[in-house]
Amino acid sequence: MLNKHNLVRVAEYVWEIPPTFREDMRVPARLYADEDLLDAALSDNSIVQLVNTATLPGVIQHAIAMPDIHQGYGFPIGGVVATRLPEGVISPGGVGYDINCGVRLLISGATVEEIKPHLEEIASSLYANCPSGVGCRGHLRLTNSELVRVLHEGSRWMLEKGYASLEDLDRTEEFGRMSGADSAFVSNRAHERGRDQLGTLGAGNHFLEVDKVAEIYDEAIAAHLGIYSGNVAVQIHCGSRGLGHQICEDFVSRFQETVRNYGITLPDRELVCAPFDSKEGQEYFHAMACAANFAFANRQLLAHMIRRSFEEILAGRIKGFELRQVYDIAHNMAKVEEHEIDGGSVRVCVHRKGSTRAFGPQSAVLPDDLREIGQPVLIPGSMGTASYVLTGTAGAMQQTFGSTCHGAGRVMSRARAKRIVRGSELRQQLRDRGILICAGSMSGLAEEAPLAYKDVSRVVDVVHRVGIAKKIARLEPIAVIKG
Amino acid sequence: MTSLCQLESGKEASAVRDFEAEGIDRKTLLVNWLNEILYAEQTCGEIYDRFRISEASDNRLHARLYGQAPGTTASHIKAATFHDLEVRKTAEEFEATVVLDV
Repeated sequence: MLNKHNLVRVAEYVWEIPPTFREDMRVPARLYADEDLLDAALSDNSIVQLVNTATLPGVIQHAIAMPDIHQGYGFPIGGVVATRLPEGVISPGGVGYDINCGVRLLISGATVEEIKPHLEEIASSLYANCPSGVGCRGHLRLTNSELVRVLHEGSRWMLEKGYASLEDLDRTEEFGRMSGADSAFVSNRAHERGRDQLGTLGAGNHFLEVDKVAEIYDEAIAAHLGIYSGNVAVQIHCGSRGLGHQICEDFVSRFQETVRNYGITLPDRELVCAPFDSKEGQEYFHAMACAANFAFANRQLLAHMIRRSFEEILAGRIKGFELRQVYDIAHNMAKVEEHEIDGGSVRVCVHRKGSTRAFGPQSAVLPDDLREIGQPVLIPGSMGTASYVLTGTAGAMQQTFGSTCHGAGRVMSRARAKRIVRGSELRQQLRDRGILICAGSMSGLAEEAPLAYKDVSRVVDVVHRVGIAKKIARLEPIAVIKG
Repeated sequence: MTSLCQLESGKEASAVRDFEAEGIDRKTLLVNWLNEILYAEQTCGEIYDRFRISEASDNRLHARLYGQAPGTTASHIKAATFHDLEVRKTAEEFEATVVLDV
């Protein structure tokens, strides 16, 4: 049993489990948290899962947990594991089932006061234009060849079809196209599950949210991103839908044999992996990149439909309502990156599962206009609370392979939340607080009740204080659309 | 899984389907088989509550499943996982613990 006594406090918000804790650990495990968030992390099995990830072949420096860590399948959610290439492994479980689950933020020039009289109409239009719920189908049904192009080209295909602008691509991680995609390694089942799901939200914790910019912490950077106090913003939180899920499922099953073949011993079968440069490792990476591109295209099509809703409802009524993209981030992904370790540049495979890339200023992979300020980081809160815009920092590059947290982090299971919360009552409570809810399922709404999550402000304060992201703005919801 | 899908009990089977699954060991076989069923439920709009196994070994399983075809499933189960997976042999049968992704 692991408890607080097994952790060494190495800085005010940094805790470490030394590799002597368990003989199969290859590196220390490190957790970023304040005392309360540490207690929350110790209340489930997530720290044991973190320790398990410290046993992966090739793991380098630390297995890292963010303050929003909670229990996942195999790997914890809110974790970062980097493996040294070429010998280090890649693990489908280290990315998760929803490959390239992520967040996109759009900002309007219109204020909340201008939009509010039309909010019910906007919410209804968003609900109609952006299908949500388990197994929902999108407005776009792709042919085989179109789906293959989406898998290879991501948002670039959407640009060609008129669903994206060049500015959208510039303001998307990987410019909306993950390199290395090869659909030859994507199963027929995954193709089939993805074919009619482009432009859909899905269910679970995925949502669309209309927000107001409630507070600015850094005026200059916020202005650089087009974010001003009182303006309206829209967040999209979703991923690669059934296609990404099927790819993860396919490779977790297949890698059960792969680990045997490579003589890899693991404490949990959901951690299965393959050496990155092996045939099996490469095949997963090629397939994962396809799912990542599908997710970029999915959020791009949703952004297009949201812009259409705003146009339908607001054109001729108010001015300056158009939505520009602030940024689009992935928080479930494995990437090959170069990082400075012990004074040298090392090529690593960084698994971020429930963790956001947070590259600091001067990073060569950022577009010119963001290089000065660092990569925007988007942290959605639980429904009815707050969300945050941050930027990446030099501190993240030094401490966490350029990574930070991804959200509030669950503290209560979906089943327990459903037992103690009534969806219809929650909807009324939120409405009384000025938050409009459009949800297809009241039990699904109950699962996402704010009390099922940690305090996102506390999570964000920790990453800000330890310098692995910098707070720029706080958003508060005025309408939420869910499956 | 069927109780999570809120299947109406006592109704005559309107969906009958044959399933095959393979795995390198008993645990992998179990997860693969459950995922075969979930895939069919999601793509065919069917829910199964009874099955008859016609062939079973540690690596291969063949079964016929019976259920209903409501058109769309109420299932919120996305997959069976390998996380904390356990298969135990008791005196007369097997017991398994499978964590489902919901």
